[in-house]
Amino acid sequence: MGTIYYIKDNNNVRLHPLDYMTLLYDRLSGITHIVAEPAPQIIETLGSQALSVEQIERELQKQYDLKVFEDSDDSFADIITARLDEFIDLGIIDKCDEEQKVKLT
Amino acid sequence: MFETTLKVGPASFRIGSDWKEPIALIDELYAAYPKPSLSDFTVRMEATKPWRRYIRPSVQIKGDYMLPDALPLPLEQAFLAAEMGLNLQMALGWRRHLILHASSAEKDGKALIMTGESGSGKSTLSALLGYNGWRFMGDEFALIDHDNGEAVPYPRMISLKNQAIAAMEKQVPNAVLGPLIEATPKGDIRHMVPPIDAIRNMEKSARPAMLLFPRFGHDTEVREVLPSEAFMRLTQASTNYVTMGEVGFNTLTRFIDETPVYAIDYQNSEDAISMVNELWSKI
Repeated sequence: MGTIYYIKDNNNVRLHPLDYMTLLYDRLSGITHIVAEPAPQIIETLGSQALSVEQIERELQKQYDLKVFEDSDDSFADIITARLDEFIDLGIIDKCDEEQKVKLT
Repeated sequence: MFETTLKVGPASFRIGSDWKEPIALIDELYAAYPKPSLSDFTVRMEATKPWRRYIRPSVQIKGDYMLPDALPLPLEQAFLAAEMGLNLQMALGWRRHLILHASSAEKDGKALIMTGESGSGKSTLSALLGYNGWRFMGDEFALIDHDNGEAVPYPRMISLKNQAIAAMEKQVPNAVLGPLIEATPKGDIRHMVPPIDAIRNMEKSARPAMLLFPRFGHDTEVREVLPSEAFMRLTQASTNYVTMGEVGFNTLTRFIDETPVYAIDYQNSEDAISMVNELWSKI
């Protein structure tokens, strides 16, 4: 079973789009983050769900034309994973094994 | 202890001093301001040691909010000490508005907000606008109302620095000025009493209609600023954004959503004034 990601407290995260940047206000820490694509889209996709990287990618593909830079070796899944890890460091997102989550719920 | 009170915009202060002269000077320069019976903050100018009241008198700024490592100033700079004390109370203690370290002026019922680093010319520009068809609202803090997003005036004494002193004396020959305070950490400083209409109308707020980032000493240029850049710079320019939590977030995002933003570079104040008026005519 794979790793799944979820927003720790979805009701306490606010997104405010500005231009190519979006503000993310985290009520729990009181910190404002300024984030670029695809970070806010990942947060929106997760919402109150717990999803794997593959599921997030699939959801994003339905709504957006996903492209990575031509000279990049990263896949889109790598980019999503990197953003998820950053959100984990910021205390906004957490992850667990799918099995563990099933047991909890 | 000698003391006085004064009200600047929505904020009331009680100012105490171990010496008579600084209080007399404050009363003289702030003569047109209301004298409230209740105060939001207290500022005190105290001798560092009892004998330093008389021998090489040295002023320590005390108050509700203090900087632990603030150095004392000589008595000749007591007025500057008092002004620094007033600013410090606002910057660290005021919660009723979002505070932007910015100058502001009003025309046609709408407010222009200007922010930038020390030396950008925001203070001088706001003062000059105040004598050129605008109402001066403040040269140090723009207070943004959390409920309706309006800019609330804070017309304290205008702080002129270095070459701005002579420039302003030339442009406004009948200006009421405080003593020239030489060799401060920011160079020479001289305070100027704001235009009387600014003081009389200091309760009249105005909706922000433009935000400018002026920059003195560069080739003349106007550029639009993206909301994200403006937001980031304003969080740095605000003394209480972090403290205000989500209330501050709401107030600042509303301000950014509703206000067009430009950066202007200029070589002299005449150019800057005409650039401001040109931009203003298009809103």
